[in-house]
Amino acid sequence: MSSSSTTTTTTRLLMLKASDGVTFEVEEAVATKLGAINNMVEEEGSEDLICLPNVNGKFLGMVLEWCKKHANNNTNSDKGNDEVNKWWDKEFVMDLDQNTLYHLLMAADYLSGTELVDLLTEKVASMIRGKKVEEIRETFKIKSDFLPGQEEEIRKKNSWAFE
Amino acid sequence: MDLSRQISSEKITPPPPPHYSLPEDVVFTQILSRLPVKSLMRFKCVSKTWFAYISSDPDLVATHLDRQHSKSSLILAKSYLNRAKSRVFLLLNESKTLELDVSYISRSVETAPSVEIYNIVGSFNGLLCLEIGEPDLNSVMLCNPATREFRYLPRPDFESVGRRACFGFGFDGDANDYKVVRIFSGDRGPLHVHVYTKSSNSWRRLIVGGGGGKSGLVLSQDQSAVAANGALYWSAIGAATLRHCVLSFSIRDEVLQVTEVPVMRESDKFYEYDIKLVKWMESLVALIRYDGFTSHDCYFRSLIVNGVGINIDMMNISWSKMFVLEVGIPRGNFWTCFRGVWGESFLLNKDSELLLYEHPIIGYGSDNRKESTYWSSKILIERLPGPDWNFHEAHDYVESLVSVF
Repeated sequence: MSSSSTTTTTTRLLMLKASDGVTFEVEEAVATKLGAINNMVEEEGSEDLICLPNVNGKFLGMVLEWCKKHANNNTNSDKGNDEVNKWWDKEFVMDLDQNTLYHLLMAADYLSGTELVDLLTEKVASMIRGKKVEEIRETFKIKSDFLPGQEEEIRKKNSWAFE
Repeated sequence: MDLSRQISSEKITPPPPPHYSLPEDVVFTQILSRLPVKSLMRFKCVSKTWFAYISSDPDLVATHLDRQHSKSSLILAKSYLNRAKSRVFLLLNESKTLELDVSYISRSVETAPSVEIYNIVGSFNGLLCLEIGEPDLNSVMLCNPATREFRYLPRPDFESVGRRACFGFGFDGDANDYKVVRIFSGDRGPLHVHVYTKSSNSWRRLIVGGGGGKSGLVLSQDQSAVAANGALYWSAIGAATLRHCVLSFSIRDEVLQVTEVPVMRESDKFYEYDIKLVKWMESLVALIRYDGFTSHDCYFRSLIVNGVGINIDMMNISWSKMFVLEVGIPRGNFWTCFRGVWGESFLLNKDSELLLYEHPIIGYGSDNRKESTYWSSKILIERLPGPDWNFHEAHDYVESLVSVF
């Protein structure tokens, strides 16, 4: 049956330390799904404690949870895995509020988790596609810097996009 | 002064660092490239940086285009009673269609009473090439229906050869440039070929020798070129031989070549068949209609073009037969209602409705015309406004930010 020794090959554990001191013990295969950690492991060799001063423990935990799911699903090379991952991704982003999404995206970007960034930016895009200009400014904390009249002119030119 | 230039020439002072903000790369390349064009056009109003980025960043245009996976199709509908009327429909999937507002085009010229779309010449990367107004005007524009940008092509300096031109629209991926080709053909003399490139916004005359069947070649009117494998293809008839040919034009190298369509069993009555070129499964396919003596005695044979590509060596055009099909529609009708292909299915116009015929393939490589096709049809669009309305050729389409300028 499937109780072979393949799963028990030496899985090295890495210790990741978040900005608030929270530490996570993660299998190397899981953590190296993140490009930044992969680079650190490759460059700095066998350092077991990796400090991540830009990521808060709460969000690092979420990022690692995502990595773990994907690493697990990818080990058994089943055709249904894509479906499982998709379903799981959907669940993962479904109830994220804007603030969490923002911090998670920052963390994923900082850690170079390309696939996770794709997933999260897709979620952001789906949340903002129908929004008004004012809501976008609010969401991204942007102040309009147009000269008087400029914004009106652009609005007039693209009035159909505001219908 | 043009607003976009005005804004880009003003110094954009970086905004004071907000108390938190996403990296620009994430916002611009990652998030904005996933938005529909309509949202992006609206978000130009967010700030100068967003305006500049959405208006003119080549990476955003490219990434946005790359992300357009689901292909839809565009189809033009026209009324033959009132020629000043046309409508454009976007076929999103089997059960969803959307009418595009193209009224801004007809409002664009104040002097002309009617500047409706006469024909869709071609569609690439979200750009359409359109014939506008009466066909004899040979008036052509590039249009991006997603951004609603459009641009009339300049009139060539050199002579029109009198008749209506046949057009083709292609994309040169190596040069990242778009080309419009117009050809005047006649039963005597050489072809007159003019090539427009978007980057130069001007026309060139192409010197065409009369050899290789390129003299006395008559292109089928009302059929724009089919683009496939880096080349444009027109169906044509040799005036002297009365044989059906395909005129090909390689978009990158601008090499013209004439290839005869092989006539099979019916060679003794070759004038009784008719040909339509379509792009099907990424290849050029010639649908050949053979008419028999009874009204139902009609079948189709398709030929696929082999060995034509973007290579300069275009000498090796060959044909292989793919399928024979028989349709359950009296002859003549199928032909007049055939509107193109969508995925693997055929689009047919019947009684002002658009039908999708699925699985039109049978009998690969078979010569047996008794094999029959089992068609299933679905209605794609609700009825057009009246019986005088018709759907015309369908074109693949993806939404994009690609500029017509």
